[in-house]
Amino acid sequence: MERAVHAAGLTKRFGDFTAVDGIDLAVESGESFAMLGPNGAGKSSTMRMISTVSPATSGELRVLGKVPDTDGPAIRSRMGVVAQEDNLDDALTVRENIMIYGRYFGLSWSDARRKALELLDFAQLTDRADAQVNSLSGGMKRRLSIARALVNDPDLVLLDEPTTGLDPQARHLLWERLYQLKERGVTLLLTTHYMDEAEQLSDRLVVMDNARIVAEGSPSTLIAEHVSKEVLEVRYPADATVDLESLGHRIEPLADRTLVYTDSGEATLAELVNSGRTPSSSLVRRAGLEDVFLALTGRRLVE
Amino acid sequence: MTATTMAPGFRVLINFWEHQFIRFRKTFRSTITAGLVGPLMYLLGIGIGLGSQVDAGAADLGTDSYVDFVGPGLMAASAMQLAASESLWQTAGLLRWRGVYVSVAHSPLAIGQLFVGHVFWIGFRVVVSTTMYLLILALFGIVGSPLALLSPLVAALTGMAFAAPISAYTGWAISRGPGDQSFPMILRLGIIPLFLFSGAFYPIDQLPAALEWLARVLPVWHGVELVRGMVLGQDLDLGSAAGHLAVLVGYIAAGLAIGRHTFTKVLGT
Ligand SMILES: Nc1ncnc2c1ncn2[C@@H]1O[C@H](COP(=O)(O)OP(=O)(O)OP(=O)(O)O)[C@@H](O)[C@H]1O
Ligand SMILES: [Mg+2]
Repeated sequence: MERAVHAAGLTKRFGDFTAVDGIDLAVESGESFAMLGPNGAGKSSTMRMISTVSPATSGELRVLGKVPDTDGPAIRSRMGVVAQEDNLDDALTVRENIMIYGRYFGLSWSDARRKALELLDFAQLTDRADAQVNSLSGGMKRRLSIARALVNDPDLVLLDEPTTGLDPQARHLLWERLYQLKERGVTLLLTTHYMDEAEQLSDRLVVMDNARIVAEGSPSTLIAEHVSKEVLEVRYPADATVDLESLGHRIEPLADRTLVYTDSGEATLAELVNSGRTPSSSLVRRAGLEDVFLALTGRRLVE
Repeated sequence: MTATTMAPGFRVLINFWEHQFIRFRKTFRSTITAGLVGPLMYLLGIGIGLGSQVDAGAADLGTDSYVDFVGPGLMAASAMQLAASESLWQTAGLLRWRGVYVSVAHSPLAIGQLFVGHVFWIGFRVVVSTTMYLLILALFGIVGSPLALLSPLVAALTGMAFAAPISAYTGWAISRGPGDQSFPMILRLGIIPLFLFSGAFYPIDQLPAALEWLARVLPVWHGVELVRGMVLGQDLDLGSAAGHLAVLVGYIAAGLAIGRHTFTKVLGT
């Protein structure tokens, strides 16, 4: 089977500004792939090129084995796109949004109606089928956007920040639905600011920053490669001067606390206490992608 | 099924119109009401009211009465107004604020096709509204030829001669920022004066030379002349009718050529 997305040296410029700077991507069929990065990293610009609506400035791009510039309609017919903005049709009901979108993909009216029922159930919106779109909550709108993107049984689904702005419950429901899609063999390509989302949903991911890919791998290999197993977070009173330099593998001073990367948080904390440097508060946790991002860029992912 | 026998490119265009029709259907009742009441007001107010003064004088209009002159003229000019308002705020909404076209661009429909579909859809809207206009004209006994039945189609061409370039402009404006700041000015300094200089109210040879020239260059007067001729059953000379049509088609073609690029600037960058 062909690769879902293949990009080499993919570049997008807006005038003099480079939004995507020669990135390479390989998303295999059936894989769940995430692009993690802060605001302005170039995630959406990349997604828009892959969705075929935005032409690349330079570089090579193949989506579902085809070239966007010449095969846009053929690619789009096999793809589902959930853009960063919902872009639902507020003149239509919930059900009509799915049905009428399905018609663009060649579904007969009866197939479109049947598909809408199935997807409303999938998105847990059955009881809102005939509601106006504007009466839905943010989380419901997001689920409807995803349901609508699935109307053509796509082989590849692009999701640009599927859960941004949703409460934890709504996010978990969406994760569960996306996981179901993955189980069915649908290739997922998603962007996110949230490392827990990337960890939950992706087999592999790239970390993007400033228009470039700064790291690539599975969540666990990235963590193993770039940071230690555990993190000890310590706080001291603002006026205290405490030397933590030689501690652990690496330390990362933040505005309100200091992160100490170490193989054992407990042991490092004991070392501090024993040497009379007891912090006013402390926390031991497992290292995550947030720490990878911090290690790679010196900045935090979500402020 | 028809969907599979049609060329896929054309099928999605049909789906686009279907989509627009279902959106439109929701406002059908108010469209019909406004579509009938509007012309009625104009014909009573201007046609009969103002007409009583005009007919008393000796205006050389080439029609039996002023209302015969102004009625069909207004029908064509209303096509321009509808097309212009659909092409400004309405189009900006579809392109950006509501994002309806953003989603459509993710379907197999190509942006160039979308623009064609968009302009022809406005043409259809004009057919609906001017058919109601025609109904009111018939009620006033103004219709004088079976050719009148085709006049909404010519009105649609008139509307599209505005819809294509103005929608193209809206795409350009939206691609550079909020766009809508220029819209009221286009309406006030462009469309409303054009309404007055369209030849709907009086023959354009009454205008100062510069304005008459402008009226001849822009599409609306051509639509007014054609529609009036068809509704009243005047002897339309074939050469000038072809000339009027050519101007309308020229504006549509130019607008279509530009609009696919400006819509791409919004939906495809
Ligand atoms: N149409 C455009 N014209 C000019 N600059 C643009 C355009 N689209 C995006 N950019 C710029 O390109 C950069 C990358 O934007 P992009 O939307 O791809 O980032 P992102 O990673 O999706 O960010 P976010 O997390 O905020 O959605 C930003 O600096 C943005 O301002
Ligand atoms: Mg984005």
